[in-house]
Amino acid sequence: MGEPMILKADLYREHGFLKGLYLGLKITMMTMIRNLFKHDRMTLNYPEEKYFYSDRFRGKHVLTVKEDGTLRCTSCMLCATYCPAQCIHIVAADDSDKSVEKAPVSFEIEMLRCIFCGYCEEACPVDAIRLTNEYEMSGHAEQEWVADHYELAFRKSLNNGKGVVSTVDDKDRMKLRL
Amino acid sequence: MTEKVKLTWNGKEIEAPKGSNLLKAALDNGIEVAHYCYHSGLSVAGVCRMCMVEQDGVPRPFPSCNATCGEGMVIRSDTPKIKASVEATLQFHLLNHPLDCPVCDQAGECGLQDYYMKHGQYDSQMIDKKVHKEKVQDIGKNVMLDAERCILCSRCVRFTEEITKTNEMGILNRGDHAEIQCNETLKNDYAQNLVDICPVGALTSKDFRFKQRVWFLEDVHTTCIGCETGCSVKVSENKNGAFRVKPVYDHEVNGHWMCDDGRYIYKHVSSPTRLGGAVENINGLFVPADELNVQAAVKGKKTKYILSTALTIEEYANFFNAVKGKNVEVALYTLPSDGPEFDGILRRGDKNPNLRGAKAAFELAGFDHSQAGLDNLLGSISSSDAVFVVVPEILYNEDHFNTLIKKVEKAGVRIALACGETLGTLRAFNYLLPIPAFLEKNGEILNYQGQARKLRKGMTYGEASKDVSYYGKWVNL
Repeated sequence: MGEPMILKADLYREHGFLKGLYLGLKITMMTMIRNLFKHDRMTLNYPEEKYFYSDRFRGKHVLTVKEDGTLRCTSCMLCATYCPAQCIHIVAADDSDKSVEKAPVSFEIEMLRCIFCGYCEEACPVDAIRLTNEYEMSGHAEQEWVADHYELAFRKSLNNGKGVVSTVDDKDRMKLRL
Repeated sequence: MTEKVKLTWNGKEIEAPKGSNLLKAALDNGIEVAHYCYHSGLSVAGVCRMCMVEQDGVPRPFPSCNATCGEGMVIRSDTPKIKASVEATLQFHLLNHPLDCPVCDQAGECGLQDYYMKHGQYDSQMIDKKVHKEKVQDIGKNVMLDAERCILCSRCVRFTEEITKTNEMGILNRGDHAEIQCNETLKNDYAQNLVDICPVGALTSKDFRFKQRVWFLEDVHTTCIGCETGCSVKVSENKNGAFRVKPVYDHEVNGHWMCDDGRYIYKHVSSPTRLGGAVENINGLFVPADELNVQAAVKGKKTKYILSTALTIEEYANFFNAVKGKNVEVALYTLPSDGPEFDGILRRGDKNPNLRGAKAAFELAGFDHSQAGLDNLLGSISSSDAVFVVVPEILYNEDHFNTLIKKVEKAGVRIALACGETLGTLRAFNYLLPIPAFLEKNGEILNYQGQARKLRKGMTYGEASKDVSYYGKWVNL
């Protein structure tokens, strides 16, 4: 509470005041000199420079597609069931292809409600939904934050609008007779 | 009285009639035994081999559905031998199963899923490719067949053979290639019971197909208002609407089954064209109106009421209490019969669910419930009258109702009390007022036996508080 944080620092405890001051300043000066001559400093000139997150980052969702370009999702509703924020809304319908049988006619995610927990990705039995490392989202009205399946599957950033192909297709599955 | 015998099942003493079915005795006493082919409404087939039990003194396990109860039997269904047997049997059932649970409507209430979690949990030993059969077959009467998912329990075959006696379903071919097939299309009026009795997702309902997942639904145990039989049913619904109707076992009225007509009684309840509040008819367009305006229109007019037969006993009683001692004429509109009087199983031609309750209430209040009473009322209508017509909840015969509307047209103010869909025929009325549908009220109706059947309240989609008695208070304002 009232204790000054600096007195707790290990440098002072272990080395005494003068040596501790010297060691602390050494770190500060080293970092400053490095930042002056090498450009690997932590501060970024966002948005001109962008930080690249790892693939494990849980950002904006993507709906994968089959090789023929249709949605991989079978609308089993497991993601919508598992979703703790209840932000996924799927409307299922018959598909004319008997090997597909069921497909979504509408797949919406309310981005403002989503807590990016990644449970939908975990629940999906067919690798239809993934969370990408896209972190830039903006919008004004609430409606702009409801992402439909065109945006989720075919936005510009995903292979220039062609979408991300899922690992296993229905056709592969039928061929393998799994 | 049949003689009762005592037997022991897994150490628990149970009592059952002598010579009755052993599996039924266990299920009736709350003991869970895995089974697919056994159904207490059908004959015994003994093909699924899931209900195996051991008996003291009998060397080998045997299926309990094919055995009878005897005095002092000591039955065990929890021995390692039985557990291994059930698991092995389940493996065989699942050998060629396509595992398309994500697209299957049965997922969540599927016998294979339930028993795999309970008795299976093995790793598949199948090294060969699965045998594929025809999927997505529309076999008529809103039933879809997927031969791949079938485990050949033969419940559907026995149902069409024993209950409807139409023999549409059968098992064709042998071994791996054996599959359920339908002879052309289903023709009986009880076809959707096949969907209910199918323990897996082989037979699913086309009406319910892909509408909702079953785990999003809640069941409301109520009574079918389709005809005067009054079958015990459950309506599955959630906040988005009602989605399906399934029968509930009731040995006095409907047994295990219900007819196909009753499957659609939920449609109007959560229909998008359902009446939400009072509306006024302005040159053929229905515009939301204030109730006070309707009250003002009725004021000073002589009020005449035509009630339908789909209200509950409580509603009739409350209504007649509300109009007691007031200058009002009341008549009863009964729907004409549709089809044969009784088809031999459940369905009855009389489509008035609470005719007996209505007649009793009319007699108690001293009004005439006969057709002559209705004709009298219709004949005396003049332009200084306000006529309230309670629209039958399920309008089987719209033409017959239209003739009634034609006779009402002379009245100065015509008001319809409706809980169904807003039909074009209702354009003849000046005002429409909402009343609760059968799923939005508690109450009782009297079926053809004179037995009180309970209606139970589920979710509210339209109007739940303003019933006929509420509008009955408007008489002679």
